[in-house]
Amino acid sequence: MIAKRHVVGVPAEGAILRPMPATAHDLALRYLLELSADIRAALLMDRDGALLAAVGSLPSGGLPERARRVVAEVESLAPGETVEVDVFATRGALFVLAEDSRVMVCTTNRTVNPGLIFYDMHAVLRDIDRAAAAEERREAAGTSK
Amino acid sequence: MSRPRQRGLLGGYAEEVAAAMRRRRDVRRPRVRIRVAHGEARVLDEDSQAAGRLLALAREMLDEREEAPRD
Repeated sequence: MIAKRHVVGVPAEGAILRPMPATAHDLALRYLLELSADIRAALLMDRDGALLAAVGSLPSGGLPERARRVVAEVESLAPGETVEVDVFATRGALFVLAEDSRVMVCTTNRTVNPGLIFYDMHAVLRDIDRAAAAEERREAAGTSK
Repeated sequence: MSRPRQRGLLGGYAEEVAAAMRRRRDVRRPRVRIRVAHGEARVLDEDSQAAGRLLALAREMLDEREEAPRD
């Protein structure tokens, strides 16, 4: 049975059952929030702009659309490349890391060290890739039996 | 005799305060910085369209954020 992925913070459309438990992506983003007390919220998207997971304090509406716009902006700056963008606004900062097939976004306050935030984001993206590779190996081993 | 020296000292302090305020204002100015393929980071021109769109997106995601406690 194929289960529809539940995105934390985004209401499931037409859901008649209880939400799915947290996915590996949700758990990875929660771990990112644990790594740095400065990170208030985090999102994970694929390179096409589809929202995979979101945790923390975020605007309630239009999150998938905003996620798509962030990815579109980053792709317009450097398509397919590893890109780090930090935006310091008046009340806080937005960090975007696009690497391989994923794009991660974090919101923080203004008094953070960008290098440390990107370090944590890289670490969590690496963990996600490692977990995905392990899952593929496990599935391959399962099908070959 | 001491008046010119006093004025010089006060002028020096005033310049330091003004410089500190200028630095503080520069640090707090909104900016968009980008780094591609682990190269040199560059700050986008604040008048550029890309910088404007990214700043607007950041403001949407930050300013509309509720001040709720973290998960």
